[in-house]
Amino acid sequence: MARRLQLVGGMAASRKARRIILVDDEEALAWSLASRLVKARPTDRIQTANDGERALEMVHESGVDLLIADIRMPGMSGIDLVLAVRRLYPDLPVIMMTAFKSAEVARLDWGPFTRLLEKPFEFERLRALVDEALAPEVVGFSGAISVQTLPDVVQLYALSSATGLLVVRHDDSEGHLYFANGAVLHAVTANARGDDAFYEIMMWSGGEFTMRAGTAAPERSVHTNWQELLMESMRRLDEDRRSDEPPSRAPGWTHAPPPLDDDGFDLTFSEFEPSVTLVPPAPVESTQPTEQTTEMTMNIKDSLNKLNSIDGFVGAALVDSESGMLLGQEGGGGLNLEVAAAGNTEVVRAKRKTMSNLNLKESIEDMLISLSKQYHLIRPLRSRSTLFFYVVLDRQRSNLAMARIALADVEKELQV
Amino acid sequence: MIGKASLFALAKALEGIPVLGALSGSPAARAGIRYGDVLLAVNGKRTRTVGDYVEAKALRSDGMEIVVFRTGTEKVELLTYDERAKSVDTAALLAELAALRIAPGALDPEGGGGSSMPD
Repeated sequence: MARRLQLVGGMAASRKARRIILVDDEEALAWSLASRLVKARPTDRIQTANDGERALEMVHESGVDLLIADIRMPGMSGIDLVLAVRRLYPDLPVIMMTAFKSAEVARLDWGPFTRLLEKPFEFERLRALVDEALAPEVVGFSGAISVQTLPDVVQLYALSSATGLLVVRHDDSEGHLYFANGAVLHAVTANARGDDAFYEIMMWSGGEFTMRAGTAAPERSVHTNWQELLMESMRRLDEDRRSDEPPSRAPGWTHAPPPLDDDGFDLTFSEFEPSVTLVPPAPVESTQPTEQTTEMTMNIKDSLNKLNSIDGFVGAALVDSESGMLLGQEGGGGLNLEVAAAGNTEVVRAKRKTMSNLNLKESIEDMLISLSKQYHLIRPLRSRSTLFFYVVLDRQRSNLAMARIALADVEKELQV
Repeated sequence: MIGKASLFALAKALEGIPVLGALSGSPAARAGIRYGDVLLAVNGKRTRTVGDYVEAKALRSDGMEIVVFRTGTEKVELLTYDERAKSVDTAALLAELAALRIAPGALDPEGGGGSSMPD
């Protein structure tokens, strides 16, 4: 990239001067970077600011072609600044400077046109990124910051050392998360407070959020650090995704403008359209537990009825290995699960031994025990491997192949 | 000991799910859940069918709060899942099931005992 710039350098004079705004609350650093940039790009116009608010004023005054911002700044954070500037310049290339481990920050989806620069960095790296962003043949690497999930939003504010109140609305529920210098101090919902409230909010699958900067927490109910809180939230979300719930059709997250009162920096938000739409997780799997439960229950009922109608169906049970409960499923007619007990335990032992010898544990689709008069089919639900169906069939009246297909169908429907 | 047919009839009358047993050492077994209980609610939701159960279970990931019916009273228990239950040894579970006799014929006077073969 740098090489390309040197070639382009000769054309610089004929090119329109580019406006670069560099924001860092460390004045010395801002100044030193800016002065070196001036040398590197003599035809461009480079301005510095030491806080987000001033930088935003500069953008309003004279426009901008490239924004270089520190993420962590007192007052308006770099992230808030970028969100605000992107309302005016959706395609603006942005370079975010961060002192955090790049893995943490890079995991966020910053959109295709934002570059992250981990501090400390060599000036040449910044210069290369600037060249890349402003190269004439490159449109720029901008785009709206898109945040996938609410945990991402929390991470953004935590990483930017935000202080304030994040108000989250989901259906009729409202949750409050208070940040102080990036730490989550207090969480509260209608039903819970502290860590539980935090997790409850993180499980919400759509709605809108507003940050009220500077609002202080009335009390402290959270003592867990935000990384742990988020890890646990992700684990819970993940667990939910692996469950058999249908994909969410929730509207995703929308950034709502805060009310027109409060302090200055929030006003900058409300001047713009609330267009930061936070896309819900990829539609593959999602977390909404309540929306389509009726439909799902119907599915399960239908599928279990399908099982009942298999030729030779004797009975079925659901085994939950997590809770340890063995639940009877009311089938059609008189359920009479009758194990031909003699030798059954031996069969199982033998099977277990063979399987462990062959190391087959992880790929069990179903297990079949053939008894003289019955088949026993055991099938873990792929979507939730701690749940099993145990189906007993009358051997003389059943078609094993059909039964397996029917059972597979039931399982498939459970993970829609 | 309640017979299996009676258990299913009771569960139907109560609009609950008959509990056929608890795996030994599991959270359910530790809480005293056993054959003959009728599961009425999980995590605050009524469980009329196995479908309801799967759905209600998903509301919480670290455990489940259950309401079971036993000998005329409702019993509330909190089952906290074990960490190791996340990875399940299917074969071990199967052995456990066989030992429990998922079809509790031996426990079932109406079934005529576990060793008899149905025709």
